Amino acid sequence: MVRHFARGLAANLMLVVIAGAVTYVLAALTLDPRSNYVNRNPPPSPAEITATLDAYNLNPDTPVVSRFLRWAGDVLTGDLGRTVAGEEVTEEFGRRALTSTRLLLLATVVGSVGGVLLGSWNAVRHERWTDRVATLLSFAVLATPVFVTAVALQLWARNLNEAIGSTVFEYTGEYSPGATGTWDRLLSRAQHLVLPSIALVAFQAALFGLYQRNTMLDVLHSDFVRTARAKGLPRRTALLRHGLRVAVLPLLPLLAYNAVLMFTGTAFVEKIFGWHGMGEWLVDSVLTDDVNVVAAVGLFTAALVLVAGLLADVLHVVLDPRSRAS
Amino acid sequence: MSTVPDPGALLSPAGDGLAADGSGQRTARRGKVVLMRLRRNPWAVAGFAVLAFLTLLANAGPLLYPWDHTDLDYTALQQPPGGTHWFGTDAAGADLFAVTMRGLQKSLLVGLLTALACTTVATVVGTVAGYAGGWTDRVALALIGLFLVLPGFLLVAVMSTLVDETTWLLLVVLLAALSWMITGRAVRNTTRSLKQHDFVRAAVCLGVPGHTVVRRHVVPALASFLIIDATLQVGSAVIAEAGLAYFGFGFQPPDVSLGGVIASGTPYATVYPWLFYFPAGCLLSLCLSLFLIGDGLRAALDPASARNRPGRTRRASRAAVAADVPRTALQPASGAPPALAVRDLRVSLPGEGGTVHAVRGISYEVLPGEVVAIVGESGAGKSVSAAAIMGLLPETAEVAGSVRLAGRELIGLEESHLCRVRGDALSMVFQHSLTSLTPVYSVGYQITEALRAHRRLDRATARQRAVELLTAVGIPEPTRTIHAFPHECSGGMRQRVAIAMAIANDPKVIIADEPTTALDVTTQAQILDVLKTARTLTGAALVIITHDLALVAGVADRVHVMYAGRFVEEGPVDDVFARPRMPYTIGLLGAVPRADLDQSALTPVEGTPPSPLLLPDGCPFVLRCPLAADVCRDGEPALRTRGNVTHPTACVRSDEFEREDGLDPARVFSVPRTGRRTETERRKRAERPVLLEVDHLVRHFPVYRGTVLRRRVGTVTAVDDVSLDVREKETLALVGESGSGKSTLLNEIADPRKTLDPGAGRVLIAGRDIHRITHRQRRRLCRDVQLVLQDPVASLDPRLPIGDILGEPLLTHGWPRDHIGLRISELLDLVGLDAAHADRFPRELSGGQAQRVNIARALALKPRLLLLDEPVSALDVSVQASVLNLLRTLKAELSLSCLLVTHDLAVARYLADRVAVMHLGRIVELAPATSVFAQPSHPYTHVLLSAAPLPEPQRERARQHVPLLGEPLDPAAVPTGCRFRSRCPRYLELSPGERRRCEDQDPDLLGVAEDHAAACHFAGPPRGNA
Repeated sequence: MVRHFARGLAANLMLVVIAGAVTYVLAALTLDPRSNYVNRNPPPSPAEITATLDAYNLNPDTPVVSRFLRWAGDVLTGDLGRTVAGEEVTEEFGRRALTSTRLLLLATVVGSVGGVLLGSWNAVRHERWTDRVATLLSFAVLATPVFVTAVALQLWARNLNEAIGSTVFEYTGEYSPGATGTWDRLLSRAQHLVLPSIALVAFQAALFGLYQRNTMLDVLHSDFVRTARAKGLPRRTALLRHGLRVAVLPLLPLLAYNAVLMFTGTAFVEKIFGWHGMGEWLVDSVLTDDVNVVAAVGLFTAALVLVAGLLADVLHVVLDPRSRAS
Repeated sequence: MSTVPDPGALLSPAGDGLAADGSGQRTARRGKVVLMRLRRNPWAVAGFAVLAFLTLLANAGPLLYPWDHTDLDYTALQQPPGGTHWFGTDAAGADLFAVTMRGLQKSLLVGLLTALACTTVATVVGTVAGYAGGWTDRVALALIGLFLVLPGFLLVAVMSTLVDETTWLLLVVLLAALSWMITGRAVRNTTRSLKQHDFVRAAVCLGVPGHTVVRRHVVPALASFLIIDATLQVGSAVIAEAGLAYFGFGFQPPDVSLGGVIASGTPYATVYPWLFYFPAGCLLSLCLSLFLIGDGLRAALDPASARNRPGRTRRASRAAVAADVPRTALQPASGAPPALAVRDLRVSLPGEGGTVHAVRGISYEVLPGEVVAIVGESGAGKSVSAAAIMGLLPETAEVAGSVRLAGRELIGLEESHLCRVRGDALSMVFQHSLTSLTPVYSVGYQITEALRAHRRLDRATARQRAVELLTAVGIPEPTRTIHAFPHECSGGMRQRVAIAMAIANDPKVIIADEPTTALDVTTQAQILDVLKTARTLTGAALVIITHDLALVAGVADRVHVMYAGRFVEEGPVDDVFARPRMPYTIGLLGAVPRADLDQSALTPVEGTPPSPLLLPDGCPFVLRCPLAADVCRDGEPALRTRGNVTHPTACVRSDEFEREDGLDPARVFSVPRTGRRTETERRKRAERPVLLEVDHLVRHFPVYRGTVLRRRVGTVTAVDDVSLDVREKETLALVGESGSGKSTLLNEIADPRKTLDPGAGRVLIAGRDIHRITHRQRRRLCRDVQLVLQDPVASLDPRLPIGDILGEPLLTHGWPRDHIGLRISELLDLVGLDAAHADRFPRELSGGQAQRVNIARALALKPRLLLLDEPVSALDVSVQASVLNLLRTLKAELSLSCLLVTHDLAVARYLADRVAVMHLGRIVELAPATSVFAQPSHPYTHVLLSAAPLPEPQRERARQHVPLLGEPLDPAAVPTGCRFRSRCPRYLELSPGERRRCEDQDPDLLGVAEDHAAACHFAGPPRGNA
């Protein structure tokens, strides 16, 4: 089993390497980091700019192949290069990954579990009005881009705050800098977490709800649920213990990919709510023509896909005995 | 794209049953059905309306509206919505309505083009990879993997700096390039499974070139999935593009898309909310309408999808009917109270075409320890009646009548009370043993669950009891098997487990619904024995539901024949089998092929059971009954004893059989003349030329593990050193259990495209090695060798009318078009169908008619060799008889040679001249049919013959079965020496010295008599009892 995974890992690692290389080369060819320096005050001399660009391996005049080789060599030693501002990409990387984790952990768990439960409930109550309304709402949530949801949430929160007369909902950053003391800090963090979490949970719950509803409908009339009922299990027990347990299997890869890929997938939420995580970095790096950061994020995303695939495989093997056979 | 939802992937592509018909008027009719279904779906209708409105607005709106999206009205900055500017204006004075319309137009355009490009790429890559397989497939999969790993959103963002007014198509290319993979993989997977579908295999066997197969059979099967997927892809692409535009990637001012409009409105949203809400609302309605249309299309196009599944409409009415219903069933012999008493049970199931009265008043009683059989064709209502007794019907079903379990009324009982009865006093064994057990729980868990549902047992006690139960049903090594999962068990083992679960709580009644269908004949006999044991152990009453008359002869005490929802004849099993008095029963009994007799013809019951929606007036059998008279059409005859008939029948003419000058049961059905042996056939075998020669053929399948880097972990021995020949005008039957390699052998001959390993033998047809011929010769070979597959309906492309299906081989092999029509009518006539059938679609045919079409197609090119792969095993017994008769007639009339694969010895006896018995990849006995059935030599043949049930109750009960030990062996782990010895009854009778020979030496297939060979060291007639 371990060897099986190891082999898959090796092959997929190749894909990650290719993906990283493609990202770097495309970014190096299309982005021009020079603009970051030209507008500085006082304006640096062209020679200074070139020197800085060369130092950071960002000079567009250097052939892309030699830039790539230098970058790849550094990556192999664990050095992801420098940002246009001259910071270590690796350091910034860790900080932002942590920020994203704080934002995502709760929302992903609630969204995934909530979606699965919502979908199952709707499937069991198939064709009743609750099911119809929930399905329509789910489609509506999916039809709304996350940035619209996020901005709308901000607008409503602001109005609510005004109506209430105090700042109940916070919608910028991770916590208020003014908050002091452990409890104040925690409260402030919680306040800041609510709105972005709602945006993330709504989206995930809608998506997984629809999927789970479909897979659950497939097992609702399956032979093995009928057998479970024929044993004397009440309908609810048969559906939960036998139906849901099997119906959730096709969702595992989705849940795994979602959980992992959310790291870079929250660009909108992070950007709009001012969280300095990976998603925001992704957008900012392109906006500032920051080639090394773009490449780092690209590599990271590709590696995440790999991790997600592994996670899905492991979950599959753990939860589905059929996959353990050859 | 990681940041973008992919509702397209919400759909799992269904391989079959999907829509999109091939030709003209049929398409129109199909279209009407889809439209009608769509119209009934209010959300889809709303979606279409909104989409149409938005499209109109985006394209016609700018022509009528006074403002252009580039106009700036300096006199009205940041105006709220109103007269001149409908949606108001922004800080620069641009008219928001005009800008939004422009954005909508661009978003729609990008969405449509992206979806189109994406679907096209996915279809091409998916079908090519899925159909070609091998390296093409691996490269395509790696490509899909790579594109999935690429950071899509990031790359589009990076590249979008190159997008300007002239190169906006680049954006479409980028979006499509990074979102086709999931659809592509789905198409690839579906194509792969379609390739295994019988109708695609049939086309390949006809010699249709690969690209034509993809175009004609594969892409149409995918059409509805692709339509739905593309619709949802439009929505996804619109959202993806909007997301990019929100960050300023993509369209650059002055051109805009909806995302850009929303982005520029966001900073002002608190003060001027309309700048945000109007474009956002537009985007939302656009995407929502697309998703709703996609969902509606799926429900309308895919009949198996959720919307059309049995849903709930209202609470079922379960009315207990007072027990004063007139008793029509016969009284039980003794005075003991029945374990189960069913009175006037009626079940109606509401469906799309109307209410189906599946069960229309049946009554029976079962005493403790008694075995009652309910027999009938599929659709007779047998299984529905069982589910009604268990209370397991969908909630929409209406159940009336009375079901008393040991005196307690079950109909109308609260669900919570019913739960305590189910699995306790009343238990059930289902047909499909694989799907009936939950795949993710171990066998032991599922048995202990049954125990603990009704008893307070601790874990250890429950496990102990589960082991006892597994031992009771004859499972070897129960302490090990208890940890096995259903997929690790053979079909017979799973059915044993199901029986163990059913007897777990010492039930009073066990209902077994087709408990042995789809099992091998040997396993079937074992399962019947286990059921008998179970009854003895628990003293329970047993109700066996089956379509197989022969099966119940030796087991049942009483039998009820069911037809169109009612019993039409019932009585003690001996009486009914010996003196059937309802023409339907007479027909069924005459239709059963026998392994113990030479039959000149079977009596087929022509026609099909009436649709439960459209029952004829009078007797429901009237349309198929050769005795039908006017009196049969006035009112449905009741089930009662008539005249001198010894048991109740529902036939007004049944007492005529008992009169001196009355009807003769043997002459009710006209027995067709099927070809007897012609002069040429009687010619000595040695004088006839060899048509098919298989020479030391070996086919091993490697077992691989891993997806990207595959490695070989073992070998399945499917066909191992097999030699045989088929001469002109003779039929060779390959018989054996599943896994014996008989189908593999047939496929090697049917599809020679797979190359053989060196030294793996040869297959010669008319003297030509089919693995060493040119492409052109191979196509010619298709004319000489044709294939008929097991599942008649699956072998026909559901999207083509019968005429096109029959025309396909002719067209492929260059028949002139004007001859084709004539040949099609000729073929239809040949297999006993009307010319009108040419316009029908496969789903409009019954199983028997569909198999006739398959036979006609196989005969279209006038082949010399017909390969028949279980040609009747999917058919009901009455239909099976008529197809068997047809095959026998055609064989004689057309001087065909046939290679027949069957698990049913009776079918082999009826059709074949010679029989080859296969076990674990080897032929163990090969001889003329008469010798094999009269003087079987190999112990395996004895076992098979002994296991085949006879439709004669007294003989069947008296017969002693030769026991077959254990389960079929794993073809991946072949033992040394004789591979049959671990299951061999004769091995047990041998002395240790003799046994050593079996253990050390692999027996060769050697002659035991003239033209009779067996692969056994101790071949000969059965020793001891048999």
